[in-house]
Amino acid sequence: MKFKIRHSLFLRFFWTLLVLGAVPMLVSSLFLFATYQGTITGIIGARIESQLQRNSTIQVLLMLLFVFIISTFAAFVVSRSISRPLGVLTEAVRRIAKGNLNVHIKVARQDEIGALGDFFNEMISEIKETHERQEEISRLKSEFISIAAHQLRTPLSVEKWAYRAVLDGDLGEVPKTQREILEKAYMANESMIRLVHNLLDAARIEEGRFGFKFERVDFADFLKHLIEEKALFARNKSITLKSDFGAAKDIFINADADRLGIAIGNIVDNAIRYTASGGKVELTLDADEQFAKLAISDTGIGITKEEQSRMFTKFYRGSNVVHLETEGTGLGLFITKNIVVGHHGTIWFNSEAGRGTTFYIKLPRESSHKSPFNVSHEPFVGKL
Amino acid sequence: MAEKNVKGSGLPIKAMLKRGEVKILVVEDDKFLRELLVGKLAREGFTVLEATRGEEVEPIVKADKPHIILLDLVLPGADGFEVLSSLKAASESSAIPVIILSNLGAREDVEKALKLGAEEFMVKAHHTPQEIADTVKRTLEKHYVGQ
Repeated sequence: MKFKIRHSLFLRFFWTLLVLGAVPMLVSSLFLFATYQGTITGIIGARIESQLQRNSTIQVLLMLLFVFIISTFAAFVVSRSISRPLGVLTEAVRRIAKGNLNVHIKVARQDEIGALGDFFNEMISEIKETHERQEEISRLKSEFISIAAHQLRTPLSVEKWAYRAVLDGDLGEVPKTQREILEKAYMANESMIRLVHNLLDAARIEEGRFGFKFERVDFADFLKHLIEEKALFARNKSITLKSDFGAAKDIFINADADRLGIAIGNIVDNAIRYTASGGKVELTLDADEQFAKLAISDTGIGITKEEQSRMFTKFYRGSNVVHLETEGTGLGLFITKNIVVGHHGTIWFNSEAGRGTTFYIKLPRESSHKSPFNVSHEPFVGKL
Repeated sequence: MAEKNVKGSGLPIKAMLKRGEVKILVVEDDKFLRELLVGKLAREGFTVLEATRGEEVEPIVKADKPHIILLDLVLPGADGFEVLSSLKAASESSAIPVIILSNLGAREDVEKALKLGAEEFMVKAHHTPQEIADTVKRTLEKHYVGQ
């Protein structure tokens, strides 16, 4: 790349200089030749004339060679004076593209290239400043969310415990009508607690503090436990929660079991929540050499085509689910995606509004070279 | 469940609770939360000692020798982590099980507390006083087995 630029610049200068040197020379030689030949023909003998002709031709050819050499030399010097600073600039830009903003180029020239170098340095320091400011803002934002969330948790705990004390009859018998209202208040408070919890997770993801601790996990076993946890929720909504692990045995993955439980749990929760009673939620697991693939399908309300691209965005909630369930944080899938990506996995879905949704999660198996075992403490900042 | 486990263990928690012989120290700075929790624990049969600041813990532990401690992390003065490490460092209190009860709940906090010797870490907003009382009983049973 670098060589090619220099090469082509050199060639351009070379051809230009060659033409500039050779053309006037050839033209002037031609005129000279014609003039003198007209004058001396007939005065001198034919032998001397042909000798003069040969001498002139040799002179012209020598001059041409000289022009050629001068052009090569001049083209080399001029093109180098441009391509060298260009090479430095290219290298600097390449480093910046890789994310290194600590680049400063030395410019010792007073010409246009020198000016370009100065502007370049100025631009870098400005970009750096903006970048630092943005990082600072993002850090402050996350810190604010963290602190706010912790501060929110205390009054939420107070409410939770107070409602519980009343509902448990610690303060005396509670009439049925009052109990119903208090139960509703308790549930609303619980959803607020969940929101704060999700907010904290999302803030940690953005801060890059959402570190993972990987260990060897039997995936099928892990999913069985998860299904047991969700069984009550499914039963309460009269939804059949099924699993089909078929021949998928001894599939080991390197996973942070707690975090992966949150990720897959969110999808299963959504599947149950947004499927009408009598529907079905099914988990299917299969695997190839490299990857374990989990499919979570439901017969729920589905996701409309227009909204499918925004499903993993923070705080986004499908328009059809907002009507169905007013609570819900819009953070679940954002967190899920970050956790799956943190496991070097991929997540996607197929959905048809009104028919149901299938989410797919593909995770590298323990034996796979993509397995995240050795990068467990790398902070992760998602590009979402 | 509690009754079954207690049989055969060294400390008959249920019987002791009936006689009010199990002493628990609750370290919590929020007055209302403390009252709610203390009320629940007292109804469960515990003899409840209270502290609102980290510095109050050591003298109470020395004087009253609680069987178990419920410790908040964000406290005025010495914070919960400091209290926990000094409890675990002192020979007369190192054996007392400590349950952290806090609204911090980041993985680093949990790991730090467990590493310092806490038995359990409970996020206040995620557990009811009843669940906390049950965890306290379970921890006592586990901890004092065979003593």
